[in-house]
Amino acid sequence: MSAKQWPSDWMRAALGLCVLRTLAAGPTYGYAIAAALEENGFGTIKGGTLYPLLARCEAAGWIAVQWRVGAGGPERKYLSLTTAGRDELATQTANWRDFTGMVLAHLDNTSTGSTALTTGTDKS
Amino acid sequence: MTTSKIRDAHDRDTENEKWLEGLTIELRLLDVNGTRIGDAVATAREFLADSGALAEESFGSARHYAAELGLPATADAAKGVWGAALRSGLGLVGLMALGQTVLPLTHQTDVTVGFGVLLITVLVLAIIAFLPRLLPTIIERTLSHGKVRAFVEAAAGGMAVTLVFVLISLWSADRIVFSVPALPVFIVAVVLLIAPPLWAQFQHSDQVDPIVPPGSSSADTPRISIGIRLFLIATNWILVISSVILCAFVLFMDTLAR
Repeated sequence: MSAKQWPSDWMRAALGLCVLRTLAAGPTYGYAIAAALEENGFGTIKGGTLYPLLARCEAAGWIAVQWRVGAGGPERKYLSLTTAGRDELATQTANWRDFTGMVLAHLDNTSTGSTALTTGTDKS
Repeated sequence: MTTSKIRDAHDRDTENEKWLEGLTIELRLLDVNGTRIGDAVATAREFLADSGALAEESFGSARHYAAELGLPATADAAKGVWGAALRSGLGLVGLMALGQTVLPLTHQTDVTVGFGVLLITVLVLAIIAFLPRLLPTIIERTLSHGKVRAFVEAAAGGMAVTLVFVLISLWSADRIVFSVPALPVFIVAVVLLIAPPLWAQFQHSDQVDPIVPPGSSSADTPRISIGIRLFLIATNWILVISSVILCAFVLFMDTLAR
């Protein structure tokens, strides 16, 4: 998928949820999360963006951390969703659907423009 | 192609290790404990090895990243810095008092305390009191501007302070504020000199907070070499060693003057 550059505030809003979703597939490590997100069209996720977010998720109890020796490689920090993390993912996903649904409904509502005109204050 | 890919891998690794060193220092300055620092540094190192990126490009400045991580500070870290400043302050007062006492004690006369000595003592204590606040800035300047420039700046600062002290001494040559018997002052000076390093020596083992790499306990961290151990002991007792040298020098000069 081509790496489209999304506005940074959109990315900030969605990244936490998408990281939790990536972890739902099973335990994985930081670079693999960044690579999976890039593959799904989020663009390059820098370490300076990803790890502070993971640290906040860990502090909230949504992520568990375990250091494991990789196959023939150095130790890796594996991250996995906790039960609280799965609950949070379900809640946030439902909320996100409601929110994006509301935004889309608003954007697709053809009567919005005329409503604004008819209800607006006109001092003339 | 990004600049990180153009660079030679060896240069990149060297630069990344320097950045990781900076991250360690920044986290230390934020009073994060050694185990968490070990984890954060190993995590960043793992990501850099996987991505092949330059640390500065991927994580931003070490200072910004350390702050962004939001790791909790240890409760009594600030106490340690202020304790060290207090110990140094007491030791320096002891050293200055001993320097003023050694000749009157050998000649069995009173110690005369001049206005200049009092002023210099207050200035030295003020500098030590501000040192814990200045230390993070000094370390950051050393990291960003390089060790040579930091050394030159420190030497210039030291010379400026010494010049001020010399001018104060010249200006207040004969202005005596009070005189006291030499022996009690000598005893107090010796206590002030010896008590702080003695206390620090016994406390040292409790206050060590080593940086622990993930997967190992603090007991597994490599032991400090004998050279570094001796250096730490010498640093702790530096004021006592200096006072012995100072007293010997003063007595030697007095013998020559006779």
